[in-house]
Amino acid sequence: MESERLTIPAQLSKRPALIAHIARACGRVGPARPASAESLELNDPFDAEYVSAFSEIFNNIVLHGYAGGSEEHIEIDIRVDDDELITRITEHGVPFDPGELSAPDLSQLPEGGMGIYIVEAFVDKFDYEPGPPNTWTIKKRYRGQDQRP
Amino acid sequence: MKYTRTDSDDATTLEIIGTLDALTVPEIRSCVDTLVDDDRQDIVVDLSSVELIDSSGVAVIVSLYKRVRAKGGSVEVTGVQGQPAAIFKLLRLDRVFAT
Repeated sequence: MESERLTIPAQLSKRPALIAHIARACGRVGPARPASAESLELNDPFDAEYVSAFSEIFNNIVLHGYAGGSEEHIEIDIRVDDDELITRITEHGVPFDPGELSAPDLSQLPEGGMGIYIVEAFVDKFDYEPGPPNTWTIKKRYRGQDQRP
Repeated sequence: MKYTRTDSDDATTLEIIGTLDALTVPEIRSCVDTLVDDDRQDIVVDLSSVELIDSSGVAVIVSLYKRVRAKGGSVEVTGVQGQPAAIFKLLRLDRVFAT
């Protein structure tokens, strides 16, 4: 098992480096991926889905929890355990009530309310506990090219 | 993120390169608004060079689609692959756009 902790300001400007970091963490589960220093290579379904889920959570924290951004720091714990990648985010933004969320009506081509839907669809397990501090945990096991449980 | 708008008669191609997400969407929103204001009727959004999209990026494309359609025009999305394809499939946008 290996783990690391990142501490970064809750700002969208930190998003590109953070997403690249999470993409590299994805590469530590399952078979080796071809590394690219110049672009995100998310051709493996595991990587595409995990990065998608994480990025929606980060957006939610910055845009909603911190009303667009803050100098306040959030903590991101990343753990690789066999073929499972676990990320836990701890933050002190405004919490939300998961019970108020409903699945988007995709037939209506929604322009919002898709973030948590993407998270829940793309990871094996998603937990949110309102705080303070609020904690978000996602887990996903590598299953090869077919990522459906 | 970079984008290029190319007009040819009634058709417009909007090529987007890089990441279309909550951070970069504000950069392209004015271009989308201008396409609608210019009454462009035949729009192709080329995502073949987009490597990452999030729900914010999806929203700006859906917004363009709805507004152009409301004016009687059409929006086609091409070149969707990799992570964007996973998002489009999940949100059933692959059925809406000829990706």
